[in-house]
Amino acid sequence: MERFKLPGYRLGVINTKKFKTSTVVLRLVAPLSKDTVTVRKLLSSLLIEGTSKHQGLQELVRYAEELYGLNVSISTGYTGCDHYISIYSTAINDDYLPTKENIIEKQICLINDLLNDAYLKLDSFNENKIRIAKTNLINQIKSQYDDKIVYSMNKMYEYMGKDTPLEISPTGYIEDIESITRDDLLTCLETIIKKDQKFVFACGDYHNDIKEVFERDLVFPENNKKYPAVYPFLPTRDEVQDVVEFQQVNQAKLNLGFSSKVSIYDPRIHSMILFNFILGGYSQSLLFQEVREKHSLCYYVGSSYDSFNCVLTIYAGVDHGNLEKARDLIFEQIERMKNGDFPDEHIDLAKNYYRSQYLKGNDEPRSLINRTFNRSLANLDIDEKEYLSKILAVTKADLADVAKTVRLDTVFTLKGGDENG
Amino acid sequence: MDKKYYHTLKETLFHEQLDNGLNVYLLKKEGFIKTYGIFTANFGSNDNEFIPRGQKDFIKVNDGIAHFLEHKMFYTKDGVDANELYAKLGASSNAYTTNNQTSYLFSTTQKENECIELLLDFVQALDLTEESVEKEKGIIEQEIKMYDDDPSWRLYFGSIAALYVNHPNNTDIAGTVESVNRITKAELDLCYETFYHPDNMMLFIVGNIDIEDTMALIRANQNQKQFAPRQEIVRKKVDEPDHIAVKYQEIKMDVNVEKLFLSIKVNDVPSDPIESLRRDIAFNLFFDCVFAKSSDLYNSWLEKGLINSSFETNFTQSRDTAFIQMGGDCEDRKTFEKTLIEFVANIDRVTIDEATFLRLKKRDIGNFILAFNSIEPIASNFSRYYYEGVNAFEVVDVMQEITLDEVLAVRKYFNEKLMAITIIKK
Repeated sequence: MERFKLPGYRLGVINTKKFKTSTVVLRLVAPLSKDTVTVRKLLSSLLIEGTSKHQGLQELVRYAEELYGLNVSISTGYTGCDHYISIYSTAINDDYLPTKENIIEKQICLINDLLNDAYLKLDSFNENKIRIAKTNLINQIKSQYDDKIVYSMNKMYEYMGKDTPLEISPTGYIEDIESITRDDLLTCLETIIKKDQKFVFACGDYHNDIKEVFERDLVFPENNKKYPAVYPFLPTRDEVQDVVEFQQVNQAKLNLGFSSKVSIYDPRIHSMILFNFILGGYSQSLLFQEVREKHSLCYYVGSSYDSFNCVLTIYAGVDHGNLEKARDLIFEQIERMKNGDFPDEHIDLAKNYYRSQYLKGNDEPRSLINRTFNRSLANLDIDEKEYLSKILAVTKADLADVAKTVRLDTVFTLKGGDENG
Repeated sequence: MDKKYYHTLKETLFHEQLDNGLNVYLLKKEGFIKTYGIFTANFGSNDNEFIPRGQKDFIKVNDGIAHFLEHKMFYTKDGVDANELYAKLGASSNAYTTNNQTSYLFSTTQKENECIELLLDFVQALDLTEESVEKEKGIIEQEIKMYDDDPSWRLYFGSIAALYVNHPNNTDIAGTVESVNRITKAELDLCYETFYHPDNMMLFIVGNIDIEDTMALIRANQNQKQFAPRQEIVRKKVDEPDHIAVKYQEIKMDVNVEKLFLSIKVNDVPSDPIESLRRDIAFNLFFDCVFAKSSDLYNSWLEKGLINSSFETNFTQSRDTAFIQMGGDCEDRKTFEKTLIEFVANIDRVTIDEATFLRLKKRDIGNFILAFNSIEPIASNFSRYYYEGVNAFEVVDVMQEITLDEVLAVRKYFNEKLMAITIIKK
């Protein structure tokens, strides 16, 4: 990948003939805060309403359709204690089209215009669109309740991370939506243009002058802001927080949150990544093999580790009658990791598999870009070969070492029925 | 081995049918690290009444058996899990069952030959014990219950089930907890012997491969195995009346946002694969022209607050069924329901101008090319179209030929008498 430092942003270009497309992504980064998350989310849904040249979603989409379905989407999310707005765009490379469209330049200009020349800024902006965007956002937040797997995971973060960035929902808060005015949205947009830390990634088959094209067509004010994304979640309670909620569900959803101290900067991070992998990261993991395959207690069970906030999560969907048994088995697997109580072949198996999974990511523009973004945000320049060789060097003792840093903080269980059973 | 170059996609596809009947397709992707293999049996949840291989009479098997068999295929002799063998090769493996087919797949960045052989070997041998069959029931029961808690899933499949009186489309692919519990080892063996014969299967390998070597490897693997003589599988034709099963149904769930789908049964299903593909493309283009984010109607419904971004429209067509679905989350259920019903009632007034048609056609062509960007969509598209009698590499050229008249002609299938409403209610 080639890296460039342009006045308003950092640009990473992955020049490859592998894909039939050009993928260009702009990430706008600011600190994750309860005060701004809602307005940023609402604004992101209004940015897709177009530019002064294509006023309104309908016009914008028409323009994109003419360009063989040039795809633009805007989403929000978080990494550690940073919030980001992501403008993601895919265009078919001119070589595959019946007519020459100079599509890559149009793609870059469009991303520029969505911010710098946003339709929202014009006096002619249809204010009705703000009302619709508000209703849609309220619905989106409400409907998070309906996906019980996601809901129970979010609740676990909310209880575990009270008064820390971990509790903040990147989708925003219903109670903050109504009072947002058009002026608030415009102020937020100005702040984003001036102050957000910006990353641009491009992946496709480009000519040599691609840097100049970006320099000319995608322009932001000079800005050297950096918002550190990594923070270790610090536990505040001595006893495990055990929360149970009752709803009409056929299957109980069990979520466990653990704190650790091994961040992306920690030299033990490679051990931690492999620890999570062996514990619950794939089909041969201890959790999958013991809880699902051996005891037939569930269909899904797994774990994930976030190296930006140092939180390990374990999740499973189990029958109400088997909750205790599932919990015990989960704790048993963590103990096994601490004591090295599993065959050595498990480690080789996991290493081999992890390496292969990692390399597969190089065949997908989206995973290539996400990986690069996370590293750029953490300000890490990681050599792929070196990274993989460190993963492959992890020993059983290293795994036990990081397993011991893991501490259960919160358990959130969504159950059917009511408190009386 | 025959080969064909597809100009629009700039891809060359190789094919050979082996002596045992197996159809093999190979595609080399320059510059890719990954290789992906998919092995598909023409056997899905809808195949529940058939004459077993070597027998004379029809039998009816328990619902969910194709999916159950998919779970059990991974247990190879010696009790080793095929997933584990793949993991040892540094590869990942998976499988899925649809109404009409079961697919097994792997993806890898190394040891491609071993992965291909393993795919052929584990799917071409079944080693069940009564005990292992019983054990799987608990896992599948949890899978069914997980989906039972998912309102989008219940709405989607509920709205299809409402349309069918006898056709197995009215039953979940995984079956029910009760039907799964009735499944026996003998029943699984019978299905396996009938449907997992090479002449009822297709293998597609795409990625970082050498074409000649890979084909030679597959040929050698197949030549050393014995299979029953080739024989056509007789499936019982479903006696499905034209009318629908349920006109209106409410499913009560613990949700914040209610959901509604309108579904319509289409009884006229073309038997010619290309005609069927043209219908499919025409339907999708119709919905795109009428309900794309660039359309007037979509935007007016959005402005009135009738719909939000969850709104979707689908046309689904397979061997012997076809149906339409429209709907999504609803704030004001009554008005939403009325609007959808009126849309169907006044379908003849829906028009599409030439400019809109051409623009959306361009977009759909672009999206199809996009799907050929990465390995998985190529393989899954190929497998999906294959048993419909269509070569996925030709779809984009058929898309170019579709006319506005063909698109407008699909309006006649919006038949009010064959329409069902399904609601996920608080």
